[in-house]
Amino acid sequence: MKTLVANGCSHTSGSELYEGLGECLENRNLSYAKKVADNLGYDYVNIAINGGSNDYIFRSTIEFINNNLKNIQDYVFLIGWTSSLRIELRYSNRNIHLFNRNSNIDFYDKKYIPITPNTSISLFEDKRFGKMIQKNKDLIIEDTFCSDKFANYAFGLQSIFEAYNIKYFMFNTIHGQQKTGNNKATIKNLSKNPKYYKPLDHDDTFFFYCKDVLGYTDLTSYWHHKQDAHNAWSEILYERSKEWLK
Amino acid sequence: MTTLVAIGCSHMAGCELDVVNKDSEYNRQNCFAARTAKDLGFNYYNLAIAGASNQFIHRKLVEFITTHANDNEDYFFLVGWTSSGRMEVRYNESSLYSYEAYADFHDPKYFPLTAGTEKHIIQDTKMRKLTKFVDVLFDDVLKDNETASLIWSTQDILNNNKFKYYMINTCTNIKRNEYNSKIIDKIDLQYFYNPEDENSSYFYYCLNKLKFKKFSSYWHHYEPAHIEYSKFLTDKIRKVYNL
Repeated sequence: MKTLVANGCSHTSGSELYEGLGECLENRNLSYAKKVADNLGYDYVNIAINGGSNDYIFRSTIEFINNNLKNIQDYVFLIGWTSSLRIELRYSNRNIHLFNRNSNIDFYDKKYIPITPNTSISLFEDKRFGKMIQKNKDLIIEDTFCSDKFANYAFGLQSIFEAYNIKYFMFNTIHGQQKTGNNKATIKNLSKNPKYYKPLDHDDTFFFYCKDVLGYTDLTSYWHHKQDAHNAWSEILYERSKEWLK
Repeated sequence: MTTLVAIGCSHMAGCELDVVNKDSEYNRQNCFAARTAKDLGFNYYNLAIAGASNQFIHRKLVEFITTHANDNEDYFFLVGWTSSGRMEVRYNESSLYSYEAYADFHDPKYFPLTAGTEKHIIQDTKMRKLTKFVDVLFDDVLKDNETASLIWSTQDILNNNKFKYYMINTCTNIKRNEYNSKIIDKIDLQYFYNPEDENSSYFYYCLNKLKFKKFSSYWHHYEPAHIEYSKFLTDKIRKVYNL
């Protein structure tokens, strides 16, 4: 049987779906991604993490492919790209700290730190990391830089999937791709690929489609949709992706 | 006619090969990439910049393929991977600062940040302060994993688009760890010269094999090293592609 591998941020990991918990195995089994896998009749692995950046999605998908390359045709990939304004850092092996919220993913390196522009300093065990981000947000999370990187990652991952003849479907969970002077041709290229659902369209992201089009406006305090929105989105996502994932 | 597109760091840009200038048109037209292009009878673009990171290399390659490459032209990519302990940051559009280079298709708002960037060459005080955090930004495992992923992605982008290419390291070797080891195993060794051997990188090959013992204070080889290395590289590329 094939396995659907879902990757993304907290939206794809189903954060807060189970008793409001940020991270737990139950969330992953309640997420829209699980329902897409069920509809396809596939097994299911979810390697999305809370706060996951596009750096994380690019890197961990590549790691997953390489760890399973011998039987990679048994896997299909559902990629929910996240906000471009996120990065990841890592506590060095000499540093005693971990960022260990993600214990449900067996191969996950717990030294990695998912960072968003709003990550609270209190979440960093080593405060220098939080301080560095707070003071230098505008330099290391600059709009054009992040948008260029986002387009490159999508293009890079598509190339890998195509090179290995791996089935995949991509969509955005919260932000569309943003055109810049550097990436507009790359985005034009991405837009031609039917396996990436409306890369530029803000209103067709999981979050905003559920909120503004489907009317699921009852959100958690961390801006996550609840179960009804996940259920509805899973049906839409299944319809959009089944041609490419079957 | 084929165009050789060189992408990499200062070594690929020929910085200081004339002893005087960090970056110049002369250096770019006389570095090993330019000489290799000439020896192979290729036209030539050089996108490399001093301080470039592996992020930069991947970004410029995608940008070149999607933006600048002409469907009716033939391209050969010469990719010189650099030290993983580097990244790029970007001044926003309203900032007065920029990073000028003689590179083709250069966006001067991008700033290459390395663990060894000397503070006095950074104009912007804020950017200067960021260098205090290099230990936070450049964890070895993080950056070595990133490098492995970028190389693999680059390899597949080039293969998918049916471009010819050759890869080298310019100043260090690709480092394995428990997370990136399987990715490194998938690097196509036919088109990447000894990725895990430091002495096979451009800098150390010139130093130890070709015996060019004199180099600049910023660890750049001079023109004679570029001349000899281009002969070695041209020969490698000819053999790989039966040219």
